[in-house]
Amino acid sequence: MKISTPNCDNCVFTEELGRDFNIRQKSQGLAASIKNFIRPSYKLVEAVRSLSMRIGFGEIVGFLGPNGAGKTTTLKMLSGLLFPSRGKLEVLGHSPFSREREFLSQISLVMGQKQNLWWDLPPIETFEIHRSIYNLDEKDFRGRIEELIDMLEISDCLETQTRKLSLGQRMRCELAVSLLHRPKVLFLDEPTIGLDILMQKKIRKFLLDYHARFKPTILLTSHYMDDVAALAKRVIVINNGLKIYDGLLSDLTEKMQPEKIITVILNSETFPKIEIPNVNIVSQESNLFRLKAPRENVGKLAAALYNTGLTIDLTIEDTPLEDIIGNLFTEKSNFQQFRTNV
Amino acid sequence: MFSQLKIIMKLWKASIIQSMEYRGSFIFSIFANFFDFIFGLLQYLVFFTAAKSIAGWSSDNMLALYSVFMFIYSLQFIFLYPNIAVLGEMVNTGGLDLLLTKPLDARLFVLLRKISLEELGSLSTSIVLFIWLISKGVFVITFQSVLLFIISIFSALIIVYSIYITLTALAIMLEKMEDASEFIWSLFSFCRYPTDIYPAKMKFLFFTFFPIAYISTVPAQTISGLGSTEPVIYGFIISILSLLISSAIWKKTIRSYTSAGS
Ligand SMILES: Nc1ncnc2c1ncn2[C@@H]1O[C@H](COP(=O)(O)OP(=O)(O)O)[C@@H](O)[C@H]1O
Ligand SMILES: [Mg+2]
Repeated sequence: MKISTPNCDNCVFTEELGRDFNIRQKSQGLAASIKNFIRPSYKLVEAVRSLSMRIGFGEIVGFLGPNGAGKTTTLKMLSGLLFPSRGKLEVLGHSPFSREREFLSQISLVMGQKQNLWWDLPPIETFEIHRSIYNLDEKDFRGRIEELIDMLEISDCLETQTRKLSLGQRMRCELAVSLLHRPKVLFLDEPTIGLDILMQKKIRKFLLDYHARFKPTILLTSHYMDDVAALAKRVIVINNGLKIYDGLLSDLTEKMQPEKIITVILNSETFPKIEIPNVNIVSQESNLFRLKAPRENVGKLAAALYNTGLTIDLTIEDTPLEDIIGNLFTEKSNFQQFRTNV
Repeated sequence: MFSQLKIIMKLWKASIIQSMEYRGSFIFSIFANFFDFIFGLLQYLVFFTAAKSIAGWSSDNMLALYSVFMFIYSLQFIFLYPNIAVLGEMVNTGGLDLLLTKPLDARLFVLLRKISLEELGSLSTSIVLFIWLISKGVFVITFQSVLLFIISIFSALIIVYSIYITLTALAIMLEKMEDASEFIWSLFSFCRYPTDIYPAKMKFLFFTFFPIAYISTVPAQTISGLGSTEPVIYGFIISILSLLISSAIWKKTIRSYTSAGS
């Protein structure tokens, strides 16, 4: 599967990568069950249809898409777990599915719902086992553990049985275990799933710090758009196994959301006359006004409002990222238009 | 290979610590298994109150078979069975996924990562029985017979290991995880008796495609001076063949592995 073109600039390289699953159809009723047993019928699911992407060394890329879009399947192919049905694929210059030692020693796959840690053992024992797996010498190992413990604030959970840890503690230990061998590429599949906001923030901050220090390439999927917004400048959006956007997150938000929302509280219940085009009042509750204005006019609008001397308070918001991404998949027309503009 | 062994040792240590957690049940199962052994022995003895020999096997020969059988049976129970027993769990919780992303021989770890010391009672009793039979002068002890016996035990272990790999691979491929351990039970129930008691067609099968004759019958024959050299050689060749075939099946399984849904 190794491709012939040299590909040294990209850490991850795929071309028309795809993976299908044959799902055995379940049948209802006895007769159908018997028939199905004798001649099982399969349904082909194209989990990933055709995905081409290039990711450079040290990049953080957010992988977005609704449930069932094919994100996890892609990560599984990239980490050598699943054999691709078609297309080209190279990670760190290796063909992942060959599962070469050298390749596997340089990657890590972290899945929010799956455990590296041994359930009945304290995390420190799992660390010890991973030390042998990755052949780390004692000194390196101690140093890295100290560092990770420090960054993740997990010194108090190392000796506790894993199953007695809270989800947040477990996830942080999970990250520590997965980073022990200092992978060059990190695949994170929903690393903050089920965690409370505070813990999500902690993990985000950790990942940022970690990336700043060691510059691994990170490919991240998450339910929580805040994760993606905080970590990744670049996003790849997929739907139904196809890539529909690949570029800067800021471009995506800007183009998908040409307007901003301005909330202003005045000391009057009538809105002053302001000579700025395309400003609309969306709603009014006594002296609280909600306005929409094009991105490029927001600055002028705010200045003008302050200059009236009537303004008590003013906030400018973007439409939440969740809604923008949601719109990608619902408002087809809007998005098609957007795509042609990119 | 050596470093992988070191990791497996660590996993065993972990798995022993884990089973010690429930110390009461741990000690209980060791005893229970010891009595299992004695019961099995009594069964044979009851047989021989009625008959002088079974299919050409005297009671001493049968005891030799029993000690060989129990030796291999308890070894697989200690090292292999605990792993196949939790195979389904391993696949469903994504343990296999994570294992496959590690720079390891996944097969070795799927089959050997867990250990259960509960059969230690049967293992030691089978050795004691074996030593007792030596002291009783039941065995033919020459350089050649001992060498052949060692080879036959080695082949038996390789065959058992290959059967485990094949079963594990098939279970993963067909997503029938529970059936694998069921199969092991029935397989070993055949090995309790000398293959001579089965009809000719089955006997042929046991020496070829379903080579369980080499697990207990052939080693016991060899050390008791009942058999010839050929079965030992065949057994050795078949053990190597089965290892190769099982490896190929394993490779195919991993290639077609679909991994549990996200
Ligand atoms: N092991 C599998 N067997 C069968 N179908 C699968 C398997 N894994 C994923 N799928 C299907 O492939 C599609 C993509 O799934 P997935 O990659 O998990 O999506 P995402 O992670 O984006 O939510 C879904 O329709 C899912 O049902
Ligand atoms: Mg997923």
